[in-house]
Amino acid sequence: MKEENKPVKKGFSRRNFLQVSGTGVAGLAVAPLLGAQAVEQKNPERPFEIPNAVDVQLNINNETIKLKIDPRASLLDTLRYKLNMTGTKKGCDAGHCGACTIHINGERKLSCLTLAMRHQNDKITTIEGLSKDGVLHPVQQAFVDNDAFQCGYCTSGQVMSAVACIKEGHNKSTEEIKEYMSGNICRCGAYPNIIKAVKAASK
Amino acid sequence: MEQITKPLNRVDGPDKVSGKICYANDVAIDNLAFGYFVSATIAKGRVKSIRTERALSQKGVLKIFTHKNMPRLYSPPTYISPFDPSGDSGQQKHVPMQDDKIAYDLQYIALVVAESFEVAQEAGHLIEVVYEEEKGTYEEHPNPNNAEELEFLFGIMEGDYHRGKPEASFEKSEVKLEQTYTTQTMHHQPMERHGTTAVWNAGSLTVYEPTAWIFGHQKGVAEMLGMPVEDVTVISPYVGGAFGGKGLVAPHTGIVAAAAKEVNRPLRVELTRKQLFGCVGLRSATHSEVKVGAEKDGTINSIIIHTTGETSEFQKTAFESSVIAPRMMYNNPHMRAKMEVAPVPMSGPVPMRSPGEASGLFLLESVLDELSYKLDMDPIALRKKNHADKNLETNLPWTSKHLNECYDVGARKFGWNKRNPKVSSMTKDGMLVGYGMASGSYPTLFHPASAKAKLLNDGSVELIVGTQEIGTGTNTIIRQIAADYLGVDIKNIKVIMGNTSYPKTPPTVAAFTAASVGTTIAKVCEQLKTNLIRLATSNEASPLFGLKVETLNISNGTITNGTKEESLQTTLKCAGRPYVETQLQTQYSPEMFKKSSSSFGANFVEVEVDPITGWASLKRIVGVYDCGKIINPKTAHSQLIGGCVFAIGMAMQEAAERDLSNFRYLNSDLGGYHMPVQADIPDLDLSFLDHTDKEANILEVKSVGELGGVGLQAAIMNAIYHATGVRIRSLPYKPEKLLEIAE
Amino acid sequence: MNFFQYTEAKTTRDAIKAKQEKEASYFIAGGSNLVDMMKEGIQHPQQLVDINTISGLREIKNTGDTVYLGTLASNTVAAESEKIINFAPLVSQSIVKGATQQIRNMATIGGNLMQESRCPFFYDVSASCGRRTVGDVCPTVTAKDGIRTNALFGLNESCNTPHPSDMAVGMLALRSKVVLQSKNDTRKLTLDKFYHIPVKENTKITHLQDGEMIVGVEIPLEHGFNHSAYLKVRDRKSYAFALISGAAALNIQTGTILNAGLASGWVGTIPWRFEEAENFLQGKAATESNFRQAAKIAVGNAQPKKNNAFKVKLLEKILIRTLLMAKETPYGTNN
Repeated sequence: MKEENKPVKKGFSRRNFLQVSGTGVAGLAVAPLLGAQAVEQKNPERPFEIPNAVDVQLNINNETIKLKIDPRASLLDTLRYKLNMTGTKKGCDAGHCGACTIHINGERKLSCLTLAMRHQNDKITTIEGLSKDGVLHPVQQAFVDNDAFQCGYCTSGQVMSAVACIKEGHNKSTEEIKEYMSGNICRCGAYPNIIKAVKAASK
Repeated sequence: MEQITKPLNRVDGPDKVSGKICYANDVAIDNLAFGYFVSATIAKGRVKSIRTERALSQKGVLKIFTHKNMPRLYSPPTYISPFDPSGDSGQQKHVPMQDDKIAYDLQYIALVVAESFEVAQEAGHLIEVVYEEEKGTYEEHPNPNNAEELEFLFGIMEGDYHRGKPEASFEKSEVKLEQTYTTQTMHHQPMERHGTTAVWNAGSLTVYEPTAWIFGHQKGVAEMLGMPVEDVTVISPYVGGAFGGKGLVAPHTGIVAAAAKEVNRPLRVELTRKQLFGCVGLRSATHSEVKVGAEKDGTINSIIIHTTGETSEFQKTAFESSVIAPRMMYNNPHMRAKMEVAPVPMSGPVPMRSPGEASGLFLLESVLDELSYKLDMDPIALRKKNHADKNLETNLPWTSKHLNECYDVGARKFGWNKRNPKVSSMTKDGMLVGYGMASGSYPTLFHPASAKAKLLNDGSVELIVGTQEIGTGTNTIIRQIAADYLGVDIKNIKVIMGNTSYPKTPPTVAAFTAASVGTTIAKVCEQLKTNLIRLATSNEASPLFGLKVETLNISNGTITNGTKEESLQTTLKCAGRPYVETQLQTQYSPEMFKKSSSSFGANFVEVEVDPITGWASLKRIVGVYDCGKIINPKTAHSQLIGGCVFAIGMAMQEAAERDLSNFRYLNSDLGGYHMPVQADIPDLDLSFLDHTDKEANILEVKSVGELGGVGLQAAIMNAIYHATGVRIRSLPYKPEKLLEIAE
Repeated sequence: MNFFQYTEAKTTRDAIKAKQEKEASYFIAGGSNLVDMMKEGIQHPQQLVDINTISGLREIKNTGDTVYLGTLASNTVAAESEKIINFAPLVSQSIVKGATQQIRNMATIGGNLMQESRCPFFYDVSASCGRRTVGDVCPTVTAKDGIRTNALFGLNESCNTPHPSDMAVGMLALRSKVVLQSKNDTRKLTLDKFYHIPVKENTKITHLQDGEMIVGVEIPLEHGFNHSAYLKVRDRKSYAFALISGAAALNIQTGTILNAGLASGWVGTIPWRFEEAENFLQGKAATESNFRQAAKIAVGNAQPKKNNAFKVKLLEKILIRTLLMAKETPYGTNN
């Protein structure tokens, strides 16, 4: 039987194994996601040279990150595959579901529908950048308290949308919140609780 | 019991809202290669030629697999039985890319493996394929004239059931109804797409896959590759939505594992959203001919249902088993419920949330509503009159049944007494208003599971169990159960799940996790408690030495009889043990087969219809449910909501649209396949009755996860009928279906 | 997605010049439509000319005669602009029914007007499609029953999918003009002259010339519209393309319609205006009876196929309801 602290196997390193087996330990600090601290290109051992690569500089969660990317790479894929920031999810890669919602200069946008290299002068905020010093953002806490998620896959996008929705002032009534949160699909159907969370965080 | 029945926040909540949860294909793997499946653009025929030169010329392409060079894979066994979750787990008998045949739209015809996603995707677009299409004639719904016998229905259920003399009884009835109902092809479309990350180490394979059945995947993948099951490990700690679709092993997992071995690199392939429409199964469309024979006083004598479900051409299975749930709903002594299948070019069907109940209770609760209008009888009164005091299919008494109370409480909350029975008689602000109701039910099943409970000498407790968290809150309720049955602070309890190295459990499907895994957790904790107490009482140095085990209990991490006590940490320290663990496996018992256990519910709906355009909107829904004890009201309520949202999708807006000239999808993306969004959901008032069920199991729980929404589709159509006089017997609602009222 | 050359333009002239210098060059602003098509492999730009970096194209102003919307204004900014809400609310009413806030934050005015087909045949590279490949015949021509989402007006051999923009329909009803800039010239075209029914000779549906760029939209105020509404009937309540939409703008003075603008989305191969119905309403009382007659006139030229025949009656009813809603929604109502 495999145990968590056995030596690593070829193909994945120890840090990955921690990410896999941590299941939200009650009361104990969860190992910080490495992607959240990344400041340099990941996977340095990979010899593949990206064809037509471009050097870009991206400001993500108040950190400036320099990297070489494929010019065709979406902002979403750059976050997930290059920077290992997997908090932002790919639901459809076509702008139909909202799971990839992030903030660009404080406005909520879909990271799957835009090329990373076009955002070198923008301030990008992802779900990883929302909490401060380990304290959940009020919207995040409201989501937890109101059970505004189930499987959690759409949740990053929902939270980013909810933060923006409140900032935009589109939270004046239940109907308005429903309409302005309709850009984030939740297949588990947590919708009514998401509304509750937005209202709670709006107070 | 302190923690059970508390509405605790989910233990994984803070991580889920922070993007910290790693789903299977989020896991960072060194030296990872990326794969991209290319899908066929015909629904039936063969690949005449396939050219990969342009694709291979892209820098960064490692290898391209087609049917010409794909390693041999075996067809996984598919004789699925809910009563033997250790058994077969294959989703599709047909494995793509083993030959040149195309069996359904979007079937894989190539797999590009490359250094990056962008390279793989572009190379995929550069592959040139010429097809030889096989034409056919197709219809929107399964045609009973094309019906064939089922291979099997859930492995054990009869496809052709009857009791009494259904036809004779129907003929003799005073009131006769005959109608046809159809339901549409639907897709699970969880927010997390299916996909596999396969990592080989010598001959051992580790598969990261979002799955609701890690052990099923372990077995199915091993069988596809022809390797020992013990050499396969499946890891799936968190699943981004399953809804019945991620339980069985779909072909992509075996293909990706084989490809990873060939290229000698860890390989990740996520299916495109489009591929989720073709390649991983779906909810079969159904066509049902229904007859009901009743007396003028509302007594239902006979119900006859003949359903034809669509199925694939290579395996004649049905999971959307409309004919099962109606068998036990009411008191009719005579019944026939027969299911057949009509093959079309599609991938093998798969269970989808409330499989069978969704369509079966749609037709049953609709025809009962039609009967109530024909008899000029209140719909609730009709149902109460035909209340089944026992399960007539099995002839067993219920462990508990409070359906009548569900009707009463629901009717009161909804204001059913304001209903004017006359069709189109209620209006509000110029809109037509309609009220409708329907019953719901879902069985409470049990399957054996095993779990390990471990107390460590720092006072923390680990529950190690090979189940998977698909969003129902399993890891949260396990902590609650463990805290109560072991007697330790819930803050010290950690749940370790999602890896086939852990004790074996059944899949997370059919709403039986609480009854199966939950009761197993309770029992293994009781066993650990006994062992710990015995450890203390057998230790001469302990203040509890020599006391009888039965006289002691554990409370707040301390073994105590009210006067003498010892903390668990001390017990372990004195015994010189770093930890104490125990494992337990639950079994079927003869007692379980003496009674029938089901959850019940009543749904009430108010709709508004614009008399000028005929456009309908849901205004509010009230649901009252009888589910026994509720371990965590917060997460259980979320399951109800989720089920209702699913049912709203089925009733009002979701449908796969096909080009009937070639049976290809016209709406294979989330822009065209209309799952519910926030604006589609009206006010939902959903609540549980406060009754436990001591006969059901030691936790006194009944099923929750798939009950919400069962029957709701009919309640909605019944409300639309009440508002408009138009009976919609074919789901989903579409604006054109009410145009006849628009004058 | 194929590799492409990427050029940032500083001025409109630069942008036009860069586009003309290389074949298969596309302007990119918000990119939400173009990037999607590139990923799907249905458009293959050899050069992307980024116009986001051009200054002066975002302004929104009220000139007295018109409200002017710069092409780079985002859909959200346009929809929430006081000037639009106060003087041309139908533009706001139609914009907010389209897409989602995330997409509206990204999409520009020009991009919305120029958005491409959403038809499944357009998105399927294996299907015949006259909007992707010059000369291809639309599959709904060969399959005579059509498909449910077929257009009702402006049918032709190349493409029969309805135009997907909500904003264009609202602007059309207000008789808006698109402002086109070339190297040396500016010209303005009303939207019903800007769009044209798809043709066999090329894949375009607008009269945008090679060497031209949209720089803004002018919404005239001379018609005195003082009531408007946009109704979008679709298969779910939000985040979906229309089944049919209706846009109505009315100039009502003491119960009489002095001027009417009536258009629909998702019924024509281009945004469709009902001029005959508008003329009928002129001078008539703003009553349900007259609205019903106008709607009947509007659907007179519909070309239904078997699978979308229901749309004729549905369109008629939606137009009636839209006109009724417009009557109840004078400018200045918070909606």
